[in-house]
Amino acid sequence: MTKRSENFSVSFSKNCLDLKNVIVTCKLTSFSNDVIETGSGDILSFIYRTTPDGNCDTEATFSTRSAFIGHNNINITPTEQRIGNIFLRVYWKDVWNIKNFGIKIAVKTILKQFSFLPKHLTRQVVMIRFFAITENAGNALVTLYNNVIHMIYLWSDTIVSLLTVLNPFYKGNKSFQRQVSFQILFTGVEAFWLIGVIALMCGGTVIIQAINNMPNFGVGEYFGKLLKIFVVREIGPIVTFLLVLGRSGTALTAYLGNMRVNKEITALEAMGIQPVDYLVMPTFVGMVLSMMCLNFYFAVIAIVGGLAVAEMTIHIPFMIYLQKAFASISMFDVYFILVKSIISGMVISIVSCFFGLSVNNIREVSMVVIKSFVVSGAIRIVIKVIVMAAFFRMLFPEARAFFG
Amino acid sequence: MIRKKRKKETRSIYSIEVDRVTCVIENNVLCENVYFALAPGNNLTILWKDGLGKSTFMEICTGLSSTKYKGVVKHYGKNVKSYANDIIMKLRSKTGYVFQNSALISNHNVFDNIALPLRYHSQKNNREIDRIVNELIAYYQIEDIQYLLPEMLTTSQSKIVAVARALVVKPSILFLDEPSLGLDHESFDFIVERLIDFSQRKNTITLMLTKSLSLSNAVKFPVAEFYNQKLSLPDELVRQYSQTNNQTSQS
Repeated sequence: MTKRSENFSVSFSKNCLDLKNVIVTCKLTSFSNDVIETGSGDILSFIYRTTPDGNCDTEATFSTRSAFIGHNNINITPTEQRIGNIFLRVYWKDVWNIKNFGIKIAVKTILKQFSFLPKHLTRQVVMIRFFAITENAGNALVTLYNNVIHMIYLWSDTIVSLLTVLNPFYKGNKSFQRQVSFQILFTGVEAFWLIGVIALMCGGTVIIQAINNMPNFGVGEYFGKLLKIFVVREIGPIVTFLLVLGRSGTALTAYLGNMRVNKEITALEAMGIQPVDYLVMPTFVGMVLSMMCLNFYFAVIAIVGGLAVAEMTIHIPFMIYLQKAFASISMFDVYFILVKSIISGMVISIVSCFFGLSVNNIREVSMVVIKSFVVSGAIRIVIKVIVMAAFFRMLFPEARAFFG
Repeated sequence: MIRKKRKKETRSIYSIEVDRVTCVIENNVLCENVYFALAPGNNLTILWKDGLGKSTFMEICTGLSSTKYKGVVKHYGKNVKSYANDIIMKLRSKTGYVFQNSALISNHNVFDNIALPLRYHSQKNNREIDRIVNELIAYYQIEDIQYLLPEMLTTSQSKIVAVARALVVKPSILFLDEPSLGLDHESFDFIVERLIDFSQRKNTITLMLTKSLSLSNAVKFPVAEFYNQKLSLPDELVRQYSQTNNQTSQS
């Protein structure tokens, strides 16, 4: 892309004094090069003097939000008149740039619907509105793409930094263990009671319902498998993920955002300390470790505690059911939880840190916290769907019967 | 393979060189064609009014911001932008930076804040680091507050801690951004004493940006002044530049 040209002249093709019902087409010619970059929806403020003939001199100042190369011919529609100034809103005549590519056909068909209107009115009514919408959609898409790419960069940087610290010959960064233990304390240990209570409630509910209702359908002997699939594999990881995300992920984003606002991260850089090494990587390790522990803890509490609750309320033989439950759990389930917890920990830590570090001013902190919560959840679901779609048959050979 | 021989760069005597730097942010011109250079042993105070981009200019001088300006900032004779990331981090480990708002890490206590650069950079073990930090804490007379968090400190205390943190690595360059902001009289005298002490060490550079005339009078560094976005240099530095120019042209 070329740089935006600072100086340009404007020549109007029609009489500028007649502002009503006229689209003034003007040609922008830059002095330095022939390409002028601007985005549709940019407000140009022209300060100009008119002569009785309708010719005008212009001195234009010009600010752009987006920067991409366009053509010289643009439509200028007068929106507001003030004494001495006219504020003009600029739309591209040619909108088929890369941002609007996907909606090209839609706009074309809509324009056809308004063919009974005069040409300039059609443009004013339809195109202007749709250009704004398409531009916003395009911007959102570009931002999403950039965010995803930068998150992947952050992840790879974190892995590289972790490998550096794990190298036995590396003697710097002695605060690694301290930071990791702080993160484990904050994420894992302090969430101990909360997750314990929720695991007890989940396990108790599922077990009591299963023991009461499964024999009615003649599937009483599958009690252990139900526990395994439902509690250990699915509810456990999801509930732990949500709790840790809500408790620690959002707090982490807010903390890093505040650090950025208070210039603490700049201070780290000024001391020659990489923020990724000092903040992101220990968080990553701590989060993954505590997620692993919390997942196993949830599974054990859900089964043992749930059975204990069931024994107290509906008086079942505790040991027999416990044996049933544990007999059905295999090493595969252990690996399954392990992988899930590692992925959850990575997603929470990287996304939270990414959004925390992307803060520019204090007003963005609260917005970014919600963003990190939603985006982490979305990424976790997307990963789950992709993995399930790709490896479902391989992971669960017993399910082949359903797919033929 | 034939390797191209790299041109030998004539190594500059200046550790910091700010060459024709122009900074424009949102149509506000902060500075225009600023030139100054500091060799080991030089100190400089730049007087600059509030709200006109002091901190931004300091970030440019330190190389922390690389996009906001036109011109060249050289550290040790080489453009800051051309350094690799690892090398620039190593160079920064030998510089001290005192921020306007102290910028202490909020979840570490005072002791950990001061020990932070050493723990990250130095090859020493933890016991030695603790000893060095304890000596420094005694030197700055902050034993009482060493286990407090930054939020519990007063402005002057946090400023003293920030100066201690900047000097713990025994830097060769010290950047000070408004070091006298929000200080009481005792702390002001205390910090001035420590700064003079630092500037009298061998081959050190101190660059200070401030609006306070009393501070610049107290530390007695050569004073450059910003007026109408332009920097007027002190006579000593101008003389020094002309001498070095003559020497280089003769050689």
